Amino acid sequence: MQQRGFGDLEATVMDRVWARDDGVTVREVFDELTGTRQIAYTTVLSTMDNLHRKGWVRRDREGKAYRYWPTMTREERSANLMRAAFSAGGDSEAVLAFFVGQMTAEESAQLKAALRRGGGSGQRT
Amino acid sequence: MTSAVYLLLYGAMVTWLAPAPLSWLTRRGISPRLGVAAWVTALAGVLTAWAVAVVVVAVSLVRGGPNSSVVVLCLELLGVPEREAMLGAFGATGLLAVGVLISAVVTFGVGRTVLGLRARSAEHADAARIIGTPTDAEGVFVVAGDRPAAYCVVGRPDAIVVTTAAVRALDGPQLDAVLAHESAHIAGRHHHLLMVLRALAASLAHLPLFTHGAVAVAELLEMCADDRAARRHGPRPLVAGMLALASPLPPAGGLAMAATATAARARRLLDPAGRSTRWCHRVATSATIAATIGAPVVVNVLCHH
Repeated sequence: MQQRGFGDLEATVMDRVWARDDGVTVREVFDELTGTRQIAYTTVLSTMDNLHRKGWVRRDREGKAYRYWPTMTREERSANLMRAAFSAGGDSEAVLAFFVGQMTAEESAQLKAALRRGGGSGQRT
Repeated sequence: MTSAVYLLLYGAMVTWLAPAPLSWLTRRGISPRLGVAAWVTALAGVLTAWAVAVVVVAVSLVRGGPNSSVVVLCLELLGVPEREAMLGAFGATGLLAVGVLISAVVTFGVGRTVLGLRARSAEHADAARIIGTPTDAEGVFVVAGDRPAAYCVVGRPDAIVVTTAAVRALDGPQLDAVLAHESAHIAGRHHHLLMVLRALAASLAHLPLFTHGAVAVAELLEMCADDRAARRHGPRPLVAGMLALASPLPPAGGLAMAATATAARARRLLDPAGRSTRWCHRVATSATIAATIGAPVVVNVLCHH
């Protein structure tokens, strides 16, 4: 996996939450992240808080601190995202621009033949 | 007052009569950017005509001169003697109230829809960035999915999503071409324009110019992004990418089907229009844009008393 950019702190933190089976505390995430980047404890704390507010993690009080757990696995989240993307009336028509839509088998065969014949090899100016 | 009537007539004519010629002119996507400009000019023309008409009525009512509510129909142009109609202050006020009310309702509706679309879009982009695996390309994320697909979604920041199935289905140059297409959407801020057009089409669902315009511009913007990707990576990998990612359309049970938009895009990439056709098309589209802008100005000048 590529290193995430500094702007993707929520993603970085969720990676850590998903990586652990027994939940994480802010301190544990902070300790892991501080080895790879310059980061303040309070930044991690507010990021965890944001993720909790958005429903990505749930938390249980453990002594003075919270222990955070993912509300869904990454696989469940992926499936939900794809469902939103592909379902009619989901995000598909309103806000997403898919690269391509549908094509009939006949059109597909014609275009494949055109590509084999070398169509489009003459560059347009 | 008179100019208000002309502006409304102009708006009505563009709204009901322009969609057919504009669709015909831009259907093949010979110069998609100019096509988008033609549609947007017509849409902006109608909205501006409406807004100016409301302002004209308001101004003439406030000034309140002896001719404030007189409508002079400029029929000399058609060889018919001039006619005047008195609306009366009461009628003009009622007209203004209706005009302002409609404007407010539509503006509010469009604004609310656009904000809603933006929020949904940002939420989807946000989720894609958290769930997806980042790639070497900035802002491109791979998400586990059985269906081969690629799309982009605007947010803070934007995201381009490619499913794992799509990564398997495409070779290197094809994937680059597909990503260039999606980047072109983001760089051209296509989503922002489309959200406004779709919100307008939803609010003004009875006006053909707005419903047809949103659909036509969406297709033309795909072609704009295709052209940009093809310029960098060549048309062949892009078309191969389309073939790999297009979902099969179930057979239509013996009915003759119109060409799908995806196939039309692929064909124009493989077999682009000749130089002379392109020039003719550019001139015709530019003339249409000029006529759309010029018509209300010319009529007002000719009929100015």
